Amino acid sequence: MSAASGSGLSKKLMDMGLYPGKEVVKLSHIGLKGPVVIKFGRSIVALGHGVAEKVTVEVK
Amino acid sequence: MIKKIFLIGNPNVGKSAVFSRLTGVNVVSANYPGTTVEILKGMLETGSGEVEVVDLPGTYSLEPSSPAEKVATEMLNSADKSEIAVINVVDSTNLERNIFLTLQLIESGLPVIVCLNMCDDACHRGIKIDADKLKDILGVPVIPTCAVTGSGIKNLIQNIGAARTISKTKQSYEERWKEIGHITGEVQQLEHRHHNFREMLEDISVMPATGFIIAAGVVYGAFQIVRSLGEFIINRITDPLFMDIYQPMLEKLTSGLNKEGFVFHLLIGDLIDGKMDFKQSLGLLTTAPYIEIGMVLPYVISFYFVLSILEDIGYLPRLAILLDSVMHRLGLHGYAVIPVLLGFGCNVPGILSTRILESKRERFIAATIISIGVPCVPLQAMIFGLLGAFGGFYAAGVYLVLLVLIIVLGSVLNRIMGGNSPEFLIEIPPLRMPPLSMLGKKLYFRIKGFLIEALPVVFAGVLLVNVLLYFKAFDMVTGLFAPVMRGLFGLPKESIIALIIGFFRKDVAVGMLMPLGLTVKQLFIATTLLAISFPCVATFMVLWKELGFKSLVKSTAIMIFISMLVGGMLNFIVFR
Repeated sequence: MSAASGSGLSKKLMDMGLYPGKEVVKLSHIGLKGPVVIKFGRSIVALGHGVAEKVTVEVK
Repeated sequence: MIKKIFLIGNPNVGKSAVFSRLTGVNVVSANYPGTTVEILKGMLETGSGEVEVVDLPGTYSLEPSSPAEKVATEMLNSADKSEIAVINVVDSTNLERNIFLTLQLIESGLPVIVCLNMCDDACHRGIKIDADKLKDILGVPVIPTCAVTGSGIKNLIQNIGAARTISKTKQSYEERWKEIGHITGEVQQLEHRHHNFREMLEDISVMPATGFIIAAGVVYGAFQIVRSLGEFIINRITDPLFMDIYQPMLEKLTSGLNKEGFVFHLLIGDLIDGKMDFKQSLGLLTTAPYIEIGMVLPYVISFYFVLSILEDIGYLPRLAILLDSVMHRLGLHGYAVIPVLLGFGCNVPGILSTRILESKRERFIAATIISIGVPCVPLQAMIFGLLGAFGGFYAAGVYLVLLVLIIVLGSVLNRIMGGNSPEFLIEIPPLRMPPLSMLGKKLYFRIKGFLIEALPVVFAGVLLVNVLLYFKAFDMVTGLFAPVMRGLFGLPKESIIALIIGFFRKDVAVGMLMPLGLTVKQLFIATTLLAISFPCVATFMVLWKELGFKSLVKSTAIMIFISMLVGGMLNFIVFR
């Protein structure tokens, strides 16, 4: 995965352990523009819809 | 010589449990100057004197990206490195993410000791960590602990002196993550096992189909427990205390007093059918203690009991993400669920905790919604006490009106205030068994805080009403407001007194309605009005402090307008 935009977003994600190349599993997406919940390593993180839009993943 | 100990770690690693184990009960909470970030301080008895322990806000990184992280880094940087020890609390169930901060701390030249917390939980999840090996690789002491049970804490205290600085060059993000991969590979053994029940629950509670069902169950269950636990305390503890012990004692003590005199009126109040009545007499020794301790305190205890458990289990962030898209329509994001829930206990901490929301716009919307649409426990307890007698239907009706109000108000504010609700990014903590020892402590502080806040105001409120009633000073005011009360709301003119008293205490105000002999319709309208009109004075002050004067005026104007509208609508349309 990788995160776009130079804002604090990609740094914040990296601090939480979500760095480019990290494998993630999408757990769920709460409908109606709700957050996307992903799992990586042993962490579960919810990304607001707008945040999730900026994250690019490569599907394996 | 160590003069200060800092506790630092990622959010949700059991840092406060470690802090609580180290410091005991004398804990001081203070805001970091110029910010709204809260820091806890306590003292640790080391055997050779006391050392101050500072609990820093949860942080992922020493390169801060939030106000809380900034405070944590600043406090660490401003300390003299030779006089401090830094306890880095690490969640053993998520070593990889936690070690990132550990490496940063070591690279910054801070004297670090690693507290490998939640060891028992890691064990349950099939994670084995070789603490000795980790110590060899990192070069700083590593102490396995389980703060919830207290195991390992003694060892941690004995080893604080061994915290040490090692020289290590700063690394880039990529280098650090590479090293972490290497370290975890060396020290961590994962036993492959099937998802256990808890891990399954962790996953399905964030999936839409199952998540909403679970959420409905949790909210319903929480409500039922709050209600039945509160009723249990009233029926089994407080009512017997008041009726069987306190009342006979009071009757004996005041038997010498002239029943028509001022002192009797002040202490006992009006006699109802020749007897003192805890709910209606409005005396300083009858109604004042009974409202607060006999009717409200039991529900305050049961509310905070349930809320604290939900917090400690790690359920609230799950509720937050499920409700995120709904909250967006109200101009908020999912995390605003937490201030709103707190507001159901008491509006004051609810509004204070809107600090966790990023923008001013969000904070205004959340605070206004809380002060208008969210009834606090004292008010709810009184609503149940009063309307409950007519069946659950009417009490539920008040909640329905408030819910509709929250949704309409939020959507309207969201439309007319420019800007968007910001996005959020939160970690969902694992579900954990709540540490019962800490639960007791938390409950103690919250209930103590409530009593200190509420008791003086209740006594002052009842005193004021009592004296004004004795000198018949209300007649002028009631006459003045009679057209509005009677014409618009269909209420007797005396109920304006309850609305005015509601500015001091909502619970006392509902108590004022009791002697008026209102019909169900009138009671319904009056309690709903009490819920949405002016918040109590404590909430008012917090609104002022948190939002500033201009927003307070705006918020108040909205409140008055809505009270008129809803009261009138209920009177003329709903109940015709």
